[in-house]
Amino acid sequence: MKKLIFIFLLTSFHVNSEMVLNDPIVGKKAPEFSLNNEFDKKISLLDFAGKYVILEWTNHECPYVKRHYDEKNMQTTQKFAKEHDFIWLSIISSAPGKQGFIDTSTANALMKQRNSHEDHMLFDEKGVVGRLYGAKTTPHMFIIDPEGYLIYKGGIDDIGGGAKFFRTNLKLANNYINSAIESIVNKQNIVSDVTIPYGCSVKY
Amino acid sequence: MHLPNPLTFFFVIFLGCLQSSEIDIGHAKLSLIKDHSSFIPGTSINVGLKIEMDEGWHTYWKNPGDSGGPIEISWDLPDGFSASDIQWPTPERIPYPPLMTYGYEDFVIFPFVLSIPENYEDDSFSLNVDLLVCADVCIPESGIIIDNLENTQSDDDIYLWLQKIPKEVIDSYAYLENQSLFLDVTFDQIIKDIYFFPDKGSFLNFPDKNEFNNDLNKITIQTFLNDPLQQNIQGVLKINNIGYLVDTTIETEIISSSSLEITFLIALIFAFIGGLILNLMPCVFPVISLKVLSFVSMGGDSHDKIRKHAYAFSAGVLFTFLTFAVSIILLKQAGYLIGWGYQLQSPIVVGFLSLLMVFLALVLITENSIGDSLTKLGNIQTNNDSYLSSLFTGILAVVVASPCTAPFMGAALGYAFLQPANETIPVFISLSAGFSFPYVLLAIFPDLIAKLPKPGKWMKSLKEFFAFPMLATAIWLLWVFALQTSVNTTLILLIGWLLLGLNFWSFLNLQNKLIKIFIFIISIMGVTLPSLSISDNAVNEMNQSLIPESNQPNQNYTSWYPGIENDLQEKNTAYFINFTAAWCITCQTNELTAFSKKTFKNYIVENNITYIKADWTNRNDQISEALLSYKRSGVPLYVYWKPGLEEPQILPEILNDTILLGAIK
Repeated sequence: MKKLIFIFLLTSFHVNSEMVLNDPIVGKKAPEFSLNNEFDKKISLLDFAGKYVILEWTNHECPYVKRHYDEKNMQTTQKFAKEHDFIWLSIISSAPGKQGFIDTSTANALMKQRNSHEDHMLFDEKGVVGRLYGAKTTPHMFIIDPEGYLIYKGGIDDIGGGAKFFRTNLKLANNYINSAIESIVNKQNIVSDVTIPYGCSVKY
Repeated sequence: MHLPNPLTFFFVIFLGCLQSSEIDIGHAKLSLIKDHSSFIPGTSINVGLKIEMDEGWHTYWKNPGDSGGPIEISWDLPDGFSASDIQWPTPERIPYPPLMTYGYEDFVIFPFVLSIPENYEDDSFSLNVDLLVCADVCIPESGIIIDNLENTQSDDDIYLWLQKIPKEVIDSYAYLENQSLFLDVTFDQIIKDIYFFPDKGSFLNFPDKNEFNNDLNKITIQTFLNDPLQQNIQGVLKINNIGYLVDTTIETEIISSSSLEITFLIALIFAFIGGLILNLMPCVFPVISLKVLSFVSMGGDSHDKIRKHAYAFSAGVLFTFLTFAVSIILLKQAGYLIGWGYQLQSPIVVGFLSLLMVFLALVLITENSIGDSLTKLGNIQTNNDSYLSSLFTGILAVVVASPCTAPFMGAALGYAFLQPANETIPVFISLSAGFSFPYVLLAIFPDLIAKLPKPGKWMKSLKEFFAFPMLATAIWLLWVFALQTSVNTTLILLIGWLLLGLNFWSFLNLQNKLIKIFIFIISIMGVTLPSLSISDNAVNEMNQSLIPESNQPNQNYTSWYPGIENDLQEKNTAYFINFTAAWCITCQTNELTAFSKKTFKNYIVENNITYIKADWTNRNDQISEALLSYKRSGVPLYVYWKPGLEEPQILPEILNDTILLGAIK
């Protein structure tokens, strides 16, 4: 009986999947999605089959994201990923009117101003993809392998949330994304493939 | 100590001049307060960091939930003073759907215990605070409070917040079911509201509310688990607005939720029936037939003698099954994942068994006049009074039975493997009782022997004939061995067969003892020296030998991997999983009678059923775990699922194409 109830619960969650946050599992297929980019062009995850893809949930007004960009920490990581032929997608799940919500022209200006190296900036104003991936914070990072399997989810580094973030030297942190890229390039397993994301909440 | 930035430096001077203990950091005011007790040297006093936030703003608990982060403070105290860590008051849920955060809205006091030294000259201090103040958006703030401890303002509010610090540990019992965490607690008042705040963020999803079952005084709350490896459950359980400490570990006992629910009694019955049927399984039958023949030849003997032989045989069976049971329990405690037939995953055991089979075949086919010590293993002709030979036959029968899983046994053993020792052992006793039941029956009713055919010359022919099933078994074991190891290692085993035959011949026919011993020593050296390398190389070689096989382009099956069931169910694709092993003769028989039939092959192609093989020939913990998840401990196991089925269907262990197709249609 309990089992039945559980299955019922599961199916009802499935129906309401737009309302709740999913929790994709590392080692399983990453959810498919397509979103419009900063030129209003439709971009699908499938477009990058055969390549490693990094997803970065972002919100340019979030103090955590701001610091990572102001100190060029995120750009350095993006550059490193690009050097190894990774695709970098920045995704904004802020709802219209909420912090971090921007239009295409602002997005273009922002990319130019902060000299960032993402391949595309994607708009998820309905929060569908954010919920599909269980994106909780900005930043919140995911890595998908060339076959479409999720191989990393979690934080950008090991500093963690709380006010201490703002007085910790970003250069001294263990950058999980850099480590993961290194492991992939060296054909090793990613040591920390599930970490705790930290930052501002995603403004759904 | 970090270096204060210019702004906080400015604060220091500014506030230092004012001698005020309250500072405004924007969206929040910070101050230090103390309780009403006198400031007496050599005692301690409660102090609190009071945070008055703008309405609708909040700051976080030690586990902030999905986002945010906890407050951080550092004291700069005069010599002799010391302050405790933050004592965290029970938090509130602050939901930002679909996210959940934990903290304090509008107002909070974080209490500390401050120890005052016997003597002090200076009591001025500074308290460095970094915190996030959040509404829809978060603002990191920091400030420094500078004051004199003795002059710190007393405030009644601190008592209220001291009360909010959870101190009482509530008795709880945590277990997992369907990837959810269930926490059982006993509580003797009516529950209006209950919520579990976990200390750590990594293993729980943070739900809006905990579903709970308020049954009598026992509460079961349910929450979702992210990381099933997390063993310690620590946190605060808030019941009717009061926090209690939870500190427990997840009980590893598996709660049966499968459709195949087996109770202890049913397991005992299944084990008994399974043991009985085991007598007829292809790998046991030749050995058993030896025993049957020896009973037949006892037709004219005294009842007492027959009884003693039957009991000795049963004792051998019981002894061997119990040895298995105890080794299984010990291996389980040592953390190994094993299942029935696990001993055949070792090529050394397989090689030994094949030698044993060759030896038995030689004993059967030759006129049996080897020394008593050897005939004990298969004594049928001399028919002496050695009850030891019956005991050994019992042991032998179980040893050769190990690759077979008879129907019923699978379920019973699967149950036995999952249970604690006090239930494992009775299941094995019941199994051996079933296995030796026919002989015990003979012991109780010795007259039954008279009903068996009269002994005669046919017995000798039959005995000699049985050498061939034995050799066939040996060949099969050789094949398993070859799959597990390499061509060269298999050659060593074949040389072992040869040398075994040579020794058998020399012991029977040569007169000179010295030559016999010489041949024996040379043989032992000839086999042991090269075989020392088996154990090291076997596993590596087997991995290499299996990989090319599974990459063959024309294979008609998919190799099993953990989670394939879920993947296929998500895709709504029907699947059939064949858990098999080369050493499992039941599996191989089914392969012939069912899986290799055209009807089956065509059916799965036509109906788009994914045919998956999980090969357990070699040790594979992932497959062992998968078997356990179906409440089985050995192969064969056949699992079928198609869209619309709530639970995967488990097929019988002995199949032919009619049964197989009937089941999946």
